[in-house]
Amino acid sequence: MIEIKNLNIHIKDNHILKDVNVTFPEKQITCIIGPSGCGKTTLLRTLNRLIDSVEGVRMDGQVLVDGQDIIHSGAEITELRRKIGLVSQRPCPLPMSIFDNVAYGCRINKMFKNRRQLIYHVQKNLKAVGLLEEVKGRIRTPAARLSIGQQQRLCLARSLAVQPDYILADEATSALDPISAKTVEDLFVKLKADYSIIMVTHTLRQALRIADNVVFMYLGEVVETGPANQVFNNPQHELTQKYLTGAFS
Amino acid sequence: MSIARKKRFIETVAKIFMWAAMFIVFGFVISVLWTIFSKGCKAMSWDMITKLPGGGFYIGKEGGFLNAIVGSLYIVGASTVLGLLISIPVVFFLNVYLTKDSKLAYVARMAFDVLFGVPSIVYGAFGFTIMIYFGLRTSLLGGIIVITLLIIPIFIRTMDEATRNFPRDILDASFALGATRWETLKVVVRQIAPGIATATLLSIGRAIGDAASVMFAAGYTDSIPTSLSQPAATLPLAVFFQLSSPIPEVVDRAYAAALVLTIIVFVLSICGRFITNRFSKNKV
Repeated sequence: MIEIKNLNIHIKDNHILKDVNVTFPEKQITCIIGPSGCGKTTLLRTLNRLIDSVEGVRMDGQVLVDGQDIIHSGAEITELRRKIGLVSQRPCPLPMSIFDNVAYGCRINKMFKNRRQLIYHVQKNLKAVGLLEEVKGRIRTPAARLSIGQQQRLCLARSLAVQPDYILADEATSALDPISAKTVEDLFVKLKADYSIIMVTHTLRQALRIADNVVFMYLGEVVETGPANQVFNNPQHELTQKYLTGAFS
Repeated sequence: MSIARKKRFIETVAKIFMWAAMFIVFGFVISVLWTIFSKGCKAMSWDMITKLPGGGFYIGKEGGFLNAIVGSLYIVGASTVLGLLISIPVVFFLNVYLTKDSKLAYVARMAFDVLFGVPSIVYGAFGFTIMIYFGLRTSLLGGIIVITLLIIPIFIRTMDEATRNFPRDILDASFALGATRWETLKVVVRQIAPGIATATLLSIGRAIGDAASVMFAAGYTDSIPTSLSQPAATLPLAVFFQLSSPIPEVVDRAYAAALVLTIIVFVLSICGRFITNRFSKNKV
């Protein structure tokens, strides 16, 4: 479980996240919604500490991943990132073959000593995202030659290959065509049986379709959080009501 | 004149200007090659590229300039490897470890720009001073060090330009899998491989053709160096010394040496393009 307590993030002089308190339950899909610039992506990138690469970032508060504070305890960042997979907005294959893309994380984390095990593992993860059949016979060809939808599924397979506990998805379907988006969306629903998924989305309909929990953010603050049914059907906060009715976006 | 006619007129003038510029550049390349080939072929023989200079070679007698060919290849090969080993980590540090707004990166880039423009004779003089300080004589090692210093700014600035357009998402994708910055270097190198190949070609072109710096640092000899402490001959100096001779046969041999130099650069360029194409197939 990931638990955030009183998290404040400043980037240079800007207060980006303000007193964020939120819990992401296990084996469920939590969608983070809110208007552009409200801090959704910053929150997501804090969970795997990719925020560290931003110049002038300061963090206060606690982010507990499985009970360990990843901000103050001197947590091993590379191990944390292995545990928390990321699928970004635009598919981003590494400049290598389809096989090597999936094998890359396994190799750097030294997961297998046996090459045969690695091949089996890569194929298993390509199969999990429905890509194995589609790339049969060209698994050693450059990943950049895949279609955008296939590339995004490859990125998901690459994240799954390092056996994470959590998957972060940053508007993972927004750059895809409707059919590919539906395929990826269905995959997330299937994957929640084994992984805790935290998803930033701009599409309310998508959140409505797949979310178990919803976190609504506005200007760096968490305005409302709770089970999807409750937030969508009976929002407690006036701002949430306005956002859901399209008063602002 | 109507607007449409005016646009057509400007278009035609621009096209003529571009064709003329192309013609000048192309004509220049052809005339250089023609001069080297026509004059160099006269003196070119198997002996020229397989034999060392014999007694009286520089007054038109028997022998060849194998010493200069081997010396140039030694110096260029070693300095290219050294240059790459030093430049890749610098480029990586500038682009991955330092942030975009880093003052250190700004100062470093400015310094490399200045070094890029420093004439090679200055590198030669600098190398010479250092060698005197350490009590070294003109040698293959001196040549390698000076040429490495000469090409490092070329390597760094060319690779840096290729790396600055590197998609940051790729770095995040690698970090998000638990990779360290050092492990991510492999990914960066794969992505900028065409840039590295271009930088290598430019550096080799500069290194193999430079006479001024090696004159001070590597010296000249009629034999092939068997250790790093011995002086080494180079093709540009072979051209330089023979071209200033009053004997026509020796002047023709200078063109033959220039021809060999051109062919080496040409072959390396083709190899470089081949390697670039091979490596860039995975580029995202």
